[in-house]
Amino acid sequence: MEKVGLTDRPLDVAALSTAVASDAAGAIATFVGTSRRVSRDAKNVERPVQTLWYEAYGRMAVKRLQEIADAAREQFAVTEVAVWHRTGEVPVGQASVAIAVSAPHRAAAFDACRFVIEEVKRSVPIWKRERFADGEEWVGGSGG
Amino acid sequence: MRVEVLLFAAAREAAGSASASLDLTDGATVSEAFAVLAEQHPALRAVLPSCRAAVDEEFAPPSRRLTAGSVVAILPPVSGG
Repeated sequence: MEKVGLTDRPLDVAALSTAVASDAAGAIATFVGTSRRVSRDAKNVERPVQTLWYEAYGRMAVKRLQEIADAAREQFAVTEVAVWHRTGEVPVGQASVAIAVSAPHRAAAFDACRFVIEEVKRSVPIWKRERFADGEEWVGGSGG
Repeated sequence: MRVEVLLFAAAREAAGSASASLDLTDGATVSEAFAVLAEQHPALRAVLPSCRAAVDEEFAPPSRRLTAGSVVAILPPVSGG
């Protein structure tokens, strides 16, 4: 499978781990971001989320994912990096983003995995929309 | 010169369209494109100040000069992950 991408299908974390597996690696770290039931409004009041949607600027998002994966490999001396993000409707509890990093040793794998998710949230053109019982709205920031 | 504009998420909804075409003076900047866009789509005025731009699929500062055929994407604050 491609190491980075967008999909409107459920994410397959096991396949992602397999995609980064290597004889040179002594560790594979994975991160899975899942869509959350409870959101908070501007006044910090909890609102139950019925479902979520992700919209992407597809071509640029895939380019950014590749750039982030390349940067992680260079900065953390890891072996392989894979990162996929889901688009369209993502029911509560399902994975919206999945990352797998293989490295000779665990510290670099954890560090690179953290770097990738932070960069995804900061700089990949993807937007989350939450649907509530009484309406829908775009989520505006990267607080996650 | 003409440039193509792509609108996403809250910006797309405010404009009621996913794309637009702008007629700009030669050498116009991203910032000038935002101003013309706000004139054509007053509903975008509340959204544009928080948006970043990408030109030809790369983030671009307000001072970036555009060329004929540039694709300018209007990007509200991202919320992936």
